[in-house]
Amino acid sequence: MTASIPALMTANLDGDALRQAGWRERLLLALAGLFLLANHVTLIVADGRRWAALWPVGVWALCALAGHVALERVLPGRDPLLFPLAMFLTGWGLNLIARLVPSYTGRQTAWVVVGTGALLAVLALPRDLRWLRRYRYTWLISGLVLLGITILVGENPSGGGPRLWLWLGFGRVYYQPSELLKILLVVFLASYLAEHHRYMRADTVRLGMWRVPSPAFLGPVLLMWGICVIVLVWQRDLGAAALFFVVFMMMLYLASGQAALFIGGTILLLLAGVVAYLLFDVVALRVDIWWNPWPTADSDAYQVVQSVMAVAAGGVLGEGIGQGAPTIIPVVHSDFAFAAICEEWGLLGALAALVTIAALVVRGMRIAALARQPFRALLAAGLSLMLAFQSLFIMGGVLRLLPLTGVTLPFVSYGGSSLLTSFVIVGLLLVLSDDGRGAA
Amino acid sequence: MITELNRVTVGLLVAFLVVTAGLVYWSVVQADDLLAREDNLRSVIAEQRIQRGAIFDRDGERLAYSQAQANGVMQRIYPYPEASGVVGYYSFTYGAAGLEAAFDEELRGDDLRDDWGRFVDETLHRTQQGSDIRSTVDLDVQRAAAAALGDQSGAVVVVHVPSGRVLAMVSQPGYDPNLVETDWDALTEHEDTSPLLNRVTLGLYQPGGALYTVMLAAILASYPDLDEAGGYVLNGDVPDAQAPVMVNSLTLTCLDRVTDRPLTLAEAYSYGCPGPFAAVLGQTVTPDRLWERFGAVGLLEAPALAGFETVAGDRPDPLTDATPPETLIAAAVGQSDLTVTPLHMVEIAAAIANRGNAVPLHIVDAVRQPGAADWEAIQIPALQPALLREDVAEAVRLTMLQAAALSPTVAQARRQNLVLYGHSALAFGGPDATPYAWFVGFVDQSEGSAVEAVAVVVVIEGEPDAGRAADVAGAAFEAAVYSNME
Repeated sequence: MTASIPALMTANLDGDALRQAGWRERLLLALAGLFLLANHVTLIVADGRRWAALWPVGVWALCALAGHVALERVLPGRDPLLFPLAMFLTGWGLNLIARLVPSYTGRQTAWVVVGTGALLAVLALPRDLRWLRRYRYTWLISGLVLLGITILVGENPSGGGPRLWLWLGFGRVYYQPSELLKILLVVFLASYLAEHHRYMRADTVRLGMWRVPSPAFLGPVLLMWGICVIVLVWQRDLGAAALFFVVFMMMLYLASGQAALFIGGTILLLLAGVVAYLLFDVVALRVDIWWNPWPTADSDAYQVVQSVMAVAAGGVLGEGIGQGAPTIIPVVHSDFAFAAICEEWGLLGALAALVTIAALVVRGMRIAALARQPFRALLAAGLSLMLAFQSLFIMGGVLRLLPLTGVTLPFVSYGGSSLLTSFVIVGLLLVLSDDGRGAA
Repeated sequence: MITELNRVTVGLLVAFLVVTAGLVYWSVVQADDLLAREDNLRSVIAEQRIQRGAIFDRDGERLAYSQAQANGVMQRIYPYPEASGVVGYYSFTYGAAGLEAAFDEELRGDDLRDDWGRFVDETLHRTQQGSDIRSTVDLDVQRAAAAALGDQSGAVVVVHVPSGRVLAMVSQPGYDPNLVETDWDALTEHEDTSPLLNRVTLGLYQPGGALYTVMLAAILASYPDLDEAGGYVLNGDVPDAQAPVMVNSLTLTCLDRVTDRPLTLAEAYSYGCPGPFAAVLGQTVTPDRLWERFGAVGLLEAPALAGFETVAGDRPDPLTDATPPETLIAAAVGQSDLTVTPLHMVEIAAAIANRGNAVPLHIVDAVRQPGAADWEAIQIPALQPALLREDVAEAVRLTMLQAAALSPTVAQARRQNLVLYGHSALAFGGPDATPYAWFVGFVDQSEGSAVEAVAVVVVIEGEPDAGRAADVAGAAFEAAVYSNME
């Protein structure tokens, strides 16, 4: 089964490795902690801040410790890389927020605690994940309902802009339901496709030169997915809509094995892009800016131009934390966190972040490859794909490889909803990685 | 499903590689081009953090310095707005003027680092520090001259002879360099009358009677030996010396009220009578010789003042025998197209005080590198070309002494027991013949054979009383001489 998997994914966990898993996780977490500490100390010295500003490092360390202890106890056979990689990016995000918008540090740190709590909660739930699989329609529809409520009574914490957030009632805490929908849609797709994928492969119809699964199987999933996308488009959360589209296509391809579906989907995506370009001013503007930002560098394309300029300013070695000027880019802390990394940590730092995310994604795909049940495989793959494409979209946007989509860089960007979702994804991947090999 | 998973994974890795390529493209390949863009605020921020050197006056008073604000941006502070004619301004938005512009490289410290030093400093995020500069300007003289000018528009320039040190350079209306950014629109509304125009170095004025000094020198220079002819030339009666001169619908008369009697050339010069100068062309001085004299005293080119922007006056066609007589007369009495700056005139005044030799005009004499305790003197070019023949300069000098004695207008520049040499004049400029009051002169303090003097040129716009200019000059003389004596 593992014969054709790339080497990175085949590092099978034998007995010795298993005993070493906890040790490896501790070592990696310690390294991540050192990185976070070093950056924070540098920031305090460079900016002349008070030493008390080190407290987020302590909170992070407690979260890492709590997570590690819980994982040791509950999931001894887990993938030892996932949690440290996620915590590494989270810590980096804390550095970044403390550097870019110090006043948000407290809130972001609180969300790290909440995220860790969510991860622990996922560990506490039954590990066969049947609770997720069985009630797929319930989950998805409740997610959609939540999103529907947002359309009716949503707000934007910054005052203007699209109303994507729900006010949660206590303090000034907001949650973005489309983040939750990311997980719920993947769960739904994984569950549905897992149940039907055998038939999808067998029962096909000819469509010109291609064979595609019978509409009888595709119908419900297309319907549910369509509702999601329509609601998101309605809400003008086009980045999330695009993300759902791509992840859906990928999961459909994984389940059906039909390259035709994939190609057709890509064509559909391009068509959808053209339609969106014609229908939505926002999309048209984003695409125009992406295609040629230079004439409007001082107005519409300001963010994008300043973003690549930040990357240029960082060069290979970077300016050093607190030494660059990434705050020139409007809302750098959410959409352009990657540009800030490029400026202050340079090409080397950006590559480190990129490799970390890629490693996280590849480990997720490896979990999918090693999974024994189609549902678990598809779920692991779907969640990894979410992380992968979300990262690719925003990094591509920052580097002007793609039009800018307003999605966050997982774990790193400012934003509680996104952080919480990312932690739940990692929690689920951790549970999926302990696929009976260690625990059984 | 494994095959599909592998394909998708490989596809994702390829996508990450593409992102890597994008990273390298922007951070390495395109970096220099991008950072050179004008909308790169990083260069503005870097600019704002430069610790610009301070500007001192000759007594160590700070005329301009930089102070760090909480956000790391350096703020430029000018304690004495009345020194704006010397110091100029420095703005992140609008650039620089005055000393701030002339010595920008030293003040920024750009001259202290080579490419490697710059690379090291940038990598270590060291603040760029510039050198301090020490001006030759004396704040006391500057303020006295500005105060004497009051709220009138015009210019005062005070130069020490023979060193060529500029002791004061007042241009009015002045401005507060601290407020240049906020007041920019108002300051630049009218280009010709803007307070930002340095009237000493860039103000082009009709010379009018102020040109008589040059004319007198030209007449004297046409005699090869003044020891023989000087007395006769200066003290022989000139026919119709008091006669008014008509030029371009203007009627020019003597500056001072004179009883109806024959005047000598020296008297006519002293009282500011145009007659002898209007009549001289074609008699003792030919038009092309006069044009040569204008050139010899530097009126036809821009004077040099270390780094300051200066202008040559508007330059009409050269005077020749073919030039129409009315143009020649206008040229002889300073009402032609030829305009001059106060800097031109002070060069001439200083040369007359300095036995005909030009003085090396300069306004900064030392630089102090960041962290250094001692000032390093700037090399001042010692070469002093002769503007006037020594005997011509001496004859003009004595005539100016006589003018100070004879003319009640010139006498208004007299202070205490200073030995005054001077000449007052009016000029009429523009379509509505706006009067400009001029004073050109110096006080001589030579002891023994060494020359020691202070030369002053004053011009006041819209002032019909030439005595006002002399009075302002008097205030400048007083401040210059007595603040130098301590």
